[in-house]
Amino acid sequence: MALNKSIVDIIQVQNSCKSLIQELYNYETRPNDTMRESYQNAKIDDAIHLDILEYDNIDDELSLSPDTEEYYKTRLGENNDTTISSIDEQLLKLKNELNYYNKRITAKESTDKEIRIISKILNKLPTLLRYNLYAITSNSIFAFKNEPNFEIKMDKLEISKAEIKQLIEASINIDKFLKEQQSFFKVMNNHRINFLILKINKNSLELESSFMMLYEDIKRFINKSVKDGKFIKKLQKLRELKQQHQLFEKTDIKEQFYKKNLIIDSVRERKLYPTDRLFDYIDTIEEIIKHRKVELEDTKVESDLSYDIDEVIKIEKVLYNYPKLHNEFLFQDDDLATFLLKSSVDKSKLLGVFIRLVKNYFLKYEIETKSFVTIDKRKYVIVRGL
Amino acid sequence: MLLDTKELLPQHLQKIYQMILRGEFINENSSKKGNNEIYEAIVSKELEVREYFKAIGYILFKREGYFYFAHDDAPNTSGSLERIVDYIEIANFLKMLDSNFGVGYRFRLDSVENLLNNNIELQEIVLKMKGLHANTNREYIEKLIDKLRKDGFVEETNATHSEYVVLNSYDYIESFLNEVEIYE
Repeated sequence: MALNKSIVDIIQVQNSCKSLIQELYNYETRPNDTMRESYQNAKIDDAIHLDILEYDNIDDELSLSPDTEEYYKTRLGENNDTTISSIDEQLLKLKNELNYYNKRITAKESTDKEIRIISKILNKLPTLLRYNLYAITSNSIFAFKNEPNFEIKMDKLEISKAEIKQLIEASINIDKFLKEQQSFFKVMNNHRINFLILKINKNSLELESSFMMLYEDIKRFINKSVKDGKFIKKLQKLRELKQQHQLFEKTDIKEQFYKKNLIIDSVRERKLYPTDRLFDYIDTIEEIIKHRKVELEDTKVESDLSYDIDEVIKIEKVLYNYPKLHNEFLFQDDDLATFLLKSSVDKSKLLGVFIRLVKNYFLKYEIETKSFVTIDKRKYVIVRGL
Repeated sequence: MLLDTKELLPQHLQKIYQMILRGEFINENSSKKGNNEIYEAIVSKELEVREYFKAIGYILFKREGYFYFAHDDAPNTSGSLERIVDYIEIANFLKMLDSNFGVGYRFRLDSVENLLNNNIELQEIVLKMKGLHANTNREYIEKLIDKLRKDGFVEETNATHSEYVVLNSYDYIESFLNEVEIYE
């Protein structure tokens, strides 16, 4: 039977199979007969036809199609596959779309379609960067903490190293491209697109600290793993000498044993054992980070693109996590204005953040209407947590 | 130096002395009743404890997260040397079993047994190891963990599920073996 593929059909089929999808997500494969008996209302054949499910006729088993599995893994934040190349693909697509836009403008044709695609790509880029960052973080932490085999652990950390390098480069390419096209976007003068570019720039700054944190973590993982690796090698050598009855002859274990009181008299710092391999890695990353810092400094320069003020406020709003600030404020002794001054809130935004917090949480605050604190020649009423 | 032992609680001194006699480590990450309390007592009065026990012939050593004592004049016996030499194979086995094995590592007997069951190379090493003879992988793991426990390097955290934690004192073995120089 030929199916007329429409989004409504797909949703209906998916809904009919939701319990089955849940089971297949948990178990990977399940027997075809048992599933058909258990889920009689599920449109299994339609789901197979629409590539939602897959049927293996050799083992007579059902499973989720790779697309469906990836979709749910991504939605559940469990997708650890990196797709860094897709960022470059999106950038290439963006370049092409800008080209088409230009041609349509010259031919005096409608550019609605191009604008829509350009907006979509610009909206997608920060998400792609963030997903990949999560995936690399998750993969490297898992390899470091849970991989029992040393060789495999080092291999996986090496892969993470290569991936973060690629990701940083991809992010730099995005920043660079947008900067190069600045004058083009200015002429385009589309508020939605300008807003999305501003969002990407703000995201770049956030990602900068995430890159640094991940870089520091991986550096620590590799240092620790290299130290473990050296120790494992040493143990194997000592074991070999012991089996050959050459331990006392070819090592100073006896001397160490008798004079150990002198050596272990005080607590020593835990040393790291960097190798040439590690230096190679750190140097490369440091170069990239330095380069990126310069790039980011450039993007901090005031842009001359025009924005819709409401859209900009939307970005500013998401920059501060008000519930978090409120909770932190409740667990300290300073008044609200002094607390905000000491926290990471941008000084120029202090009044705005102060007003928003008081507005949102006034029921949980005690306001001393006659007492003030002066910050930057501006008086702030004393507000304390109840 | 005049010793002011008034500030040290007598029950702490008694416990510390008992631990010395048993050759035990005093671990910060031990959850055994009283062990952490003794560790804290020594940290707060380290100088006094050091001087007090020095006077009766024991030297206090401090490492990262644990203390131990040694007799100041008795030479190390060959028996003690043999004991630490045995740990070359044990430490090697544990690192090959899971390269993450070290201070603070938490494990279940079942999971360690599974790692051994899946590692043919290690099963061959086990057959050649002296001292710990066993008929099955499970029995071997049980004997090994029991030795580590008796020597004060691991502690059971959950008896129902046979869960253990590696104590800070395991650093003593790793640091010692790391210090050994191999002549090329």
